[in-house]
Amino acid sequence: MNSLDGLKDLIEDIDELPTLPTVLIEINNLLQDPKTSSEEIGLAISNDQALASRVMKLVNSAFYGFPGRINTISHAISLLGFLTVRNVVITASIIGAFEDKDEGIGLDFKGFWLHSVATASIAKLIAKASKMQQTEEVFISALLHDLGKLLMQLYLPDEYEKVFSYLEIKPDLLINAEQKVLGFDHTHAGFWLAKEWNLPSEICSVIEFHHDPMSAEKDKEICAVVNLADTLARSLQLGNGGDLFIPAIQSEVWDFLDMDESKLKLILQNAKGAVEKASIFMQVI
Amino acid sequence: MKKISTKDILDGMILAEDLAGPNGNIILPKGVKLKSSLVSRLDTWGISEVCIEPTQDDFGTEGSQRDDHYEEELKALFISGTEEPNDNLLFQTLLKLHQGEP
Repeated sequence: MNSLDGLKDLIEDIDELPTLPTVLIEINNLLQDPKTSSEEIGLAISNDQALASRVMKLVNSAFYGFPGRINTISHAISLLGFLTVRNVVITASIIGAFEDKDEGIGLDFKGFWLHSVATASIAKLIAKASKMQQTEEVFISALLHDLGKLLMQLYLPDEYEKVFSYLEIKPDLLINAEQKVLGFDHTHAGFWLAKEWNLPSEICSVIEFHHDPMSAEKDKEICAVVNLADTLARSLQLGNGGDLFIPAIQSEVWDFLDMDESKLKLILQNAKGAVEKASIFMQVI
Repeated sequence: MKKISTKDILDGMILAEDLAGPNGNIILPKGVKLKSSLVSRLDTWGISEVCIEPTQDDFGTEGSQRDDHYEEELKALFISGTEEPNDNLLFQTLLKLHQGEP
């Protein structure tokens, strides 16, 4: 039996998979239609009050720092743009989908989200240093790169407990322990859920390929950025994604992103400030 | 290096010698970070004492020794070592930042 069949069997046994609010599907559809207006999106978001209030809190927070108060969703969209609002909606929805579950044994959620925010902030710095256009896509996909760990921790707790017991005896990267104990890892589990949820393609690619970005067929540059950002976030000891080790930098990734000493120094120097700023994002959501 | 009772293990203490189980197999390698949650497991193996690396308190807290501590701890986190040029560059850059170099 293929080890990924093992994952399929386990996931099929889960009774209640986390769901995303239906408004997200509607918003995704609206955003794919170039004729959609800010008012239409605003109306769709306003139908979900919890979501709407999170979006309003975020746009009025220090993370964006706009002068004066923003009172309507459509005003927020005109200031932030469709893409940012979509990302806020996705993030708020995913956090909402997991928030009522007990933490259980294994991951520490506070450390987990700090690692995610740190990776996202550093990824954005790398993207800027590489003069990439897609900084918003980089931020959101880096923020969600370890989605599979959340799924495994909360919905496959017995299996994940075995993985963490193994790590206590044999310290290693969490992904290596997952593969050795279960035969699959969080990139497979996360990709499965991301597809099930119909998340945007760059988020799916990063979830699947953030440990092996050069194998990605689509969005290779974003995957490479998130791979390096994950390593740098670990090296600065910001948060904890399940293990504290720093994996070797993949030289193909380094060369692909055209990294050098001065860029590295600049990114590391700015990382802590960027992470602090991004933490506001998480507090609001 | 000092010997302590397993009851006194605190999270983050570093094991100073390989730890062998009752049948002589090594169950924890030297250099591993210990966790207090391990105590009950060690009990079941009949282990009551472990050797740990001295901590910052044992060194005193003068600045230079604190920095040595950061360097060692950081190096231990590089799971494939710091031999490769890019890993070494990252390691050296972090050390410089830690020491407050511009």
